[in-house]
Amino acid sequence: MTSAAPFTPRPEPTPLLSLNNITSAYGRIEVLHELALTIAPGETVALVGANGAGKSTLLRVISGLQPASGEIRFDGGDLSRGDAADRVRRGIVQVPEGRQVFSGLSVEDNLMLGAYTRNDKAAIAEDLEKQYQRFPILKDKRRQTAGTLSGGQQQMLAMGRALMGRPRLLLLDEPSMGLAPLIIEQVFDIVRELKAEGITQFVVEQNAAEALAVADRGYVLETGRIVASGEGTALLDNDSVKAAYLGG
Amino acid sequence: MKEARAMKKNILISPYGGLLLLALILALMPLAVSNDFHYDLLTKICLTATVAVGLNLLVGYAGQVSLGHAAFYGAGAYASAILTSQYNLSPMVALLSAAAGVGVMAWLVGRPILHLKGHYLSMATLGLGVIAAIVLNNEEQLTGGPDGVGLPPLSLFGHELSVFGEYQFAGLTFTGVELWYLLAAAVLVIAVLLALNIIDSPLGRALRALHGSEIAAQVAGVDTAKYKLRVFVISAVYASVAGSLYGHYSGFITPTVASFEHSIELITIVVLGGMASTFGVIIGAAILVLIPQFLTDFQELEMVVFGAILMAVMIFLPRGLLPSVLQRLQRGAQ
Repeated sequence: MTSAAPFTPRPEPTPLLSLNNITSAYGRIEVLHELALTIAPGETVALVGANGAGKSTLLRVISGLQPASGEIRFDGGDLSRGDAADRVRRGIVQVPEGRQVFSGLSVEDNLMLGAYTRNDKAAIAEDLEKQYQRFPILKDKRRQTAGTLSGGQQQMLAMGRALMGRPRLLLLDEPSMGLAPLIIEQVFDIVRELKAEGITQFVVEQNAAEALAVADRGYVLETGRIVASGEGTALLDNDSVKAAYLGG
Repeated sequence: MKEARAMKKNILISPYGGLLLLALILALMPLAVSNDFHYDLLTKICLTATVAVGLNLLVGYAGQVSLGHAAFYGAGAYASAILTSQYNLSPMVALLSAAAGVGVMAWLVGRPILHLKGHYLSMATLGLGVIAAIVLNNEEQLTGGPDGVGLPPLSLFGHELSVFGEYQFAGLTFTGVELWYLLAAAVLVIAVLLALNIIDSPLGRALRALHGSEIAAQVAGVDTAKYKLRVFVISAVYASVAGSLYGHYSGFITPTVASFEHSIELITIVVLGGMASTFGVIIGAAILVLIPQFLTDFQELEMVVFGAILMAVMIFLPRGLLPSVLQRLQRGAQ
């Protein structure tokens, strides 16, 4: 197993996640075409692109919610098999688009559900306290049902819930969607905070300016193909990216 | 002071407080009734409520609709009938075997379907109900066909419990009808206790989660298909046990116990009483058993008035009786 060919050069550390030749379709309509990307440990990577480019589909593929052909490797292991629950156990946790809090449950139950795959009670309690420190508003409202929270608070809750799963790779699907500018700032502040803590993040955004400013690297997705990639800030200056996604 | 008041409120609202209240009401019921007919209605309410409590786990918590739950109820009743009268098994052994068999049947039906999203389970259970009715009507040598089949009285640990008997306990005399009511009431209390435990368990939390947002539940690591299947099987077993008991109680069953109309009645009870409200569906069961009694004066208009009442409830109390009323009370208190 470990007898790797000696002549294989390894200039970079093993990526935490690598996708190769990923193709995915809804029925007969193919939305991702032979896509490839890598995310290194500790990196924050942004995926930007217009509506309908296939961004959310890609995240669904990584989370195991959407079938795809091709190779997915996570932490050196093959991920092509294994259902959604299995991937969460391995540390791939998603903050889904539109927040998707469990509106009928209390804020605290929502957070506890994030730790669903874990059994270490003491550490879970510790993590719960951590989330309350990170998001004090959630502690104030912990007995309220999640449906009574504002959009921004729900986004915080969805992020806190994901963090309760101790993600090794945090997937954020459109975290700024439908939020007021001030709240969007707060959301990206948290992304920065998590980045500083060393959590590997993959942020999917239509709000390309914000996402690329935070990210180490970025990919631009256009109708199911990656058309540009590079350092976040460099991509921001890329004229074609500007023209296509940032309004010139 | 404020703390004490909050605590009192919690006990009233907490599900186990509700269980205590239910047990109390059921225990005091005999003081309010005077004849065998009343006991008969109470027994039927308790058994119907037991099915509804199980069905509510599926409909109210897992968000899946079964349109064939009467088939599981009927399967329980008929399996008990056949195993006791044709294979000479004791009623309790027959009841447990029936429950296990129905559980397996539900598992086989649910397993391929619950991997799919949406209301495929409704279609499949609808089909199952139709098949059950056809089988019960046509396999005459086994089921007696449309004429039905008889069951021996229930026996517990060698003691027979017949509705026609009289029994002595600690110097008190009970009629069989009274004892049957107490048994059905005890079964209902146990059914509620189990349901509350399930709701409070990781399974229950997972169910409420996937009812809230299936995708979020999946990305939190909840294996949604597995839990939906599990609760489907549990609710089928509830129906089977209640069906077996009803068979022994009435002593005679016909294919109507497994009919489509009966399945719809069960779903109506859950929606009327209040989805995801264990105590609400018990009230729903009581109403659905009792309303026809009160409406007999309307004769052929009975079903029309019945339908009108159901429509009015759904229009004015859309969350079902108990949850809507509780919500109003809470608002009034604030």
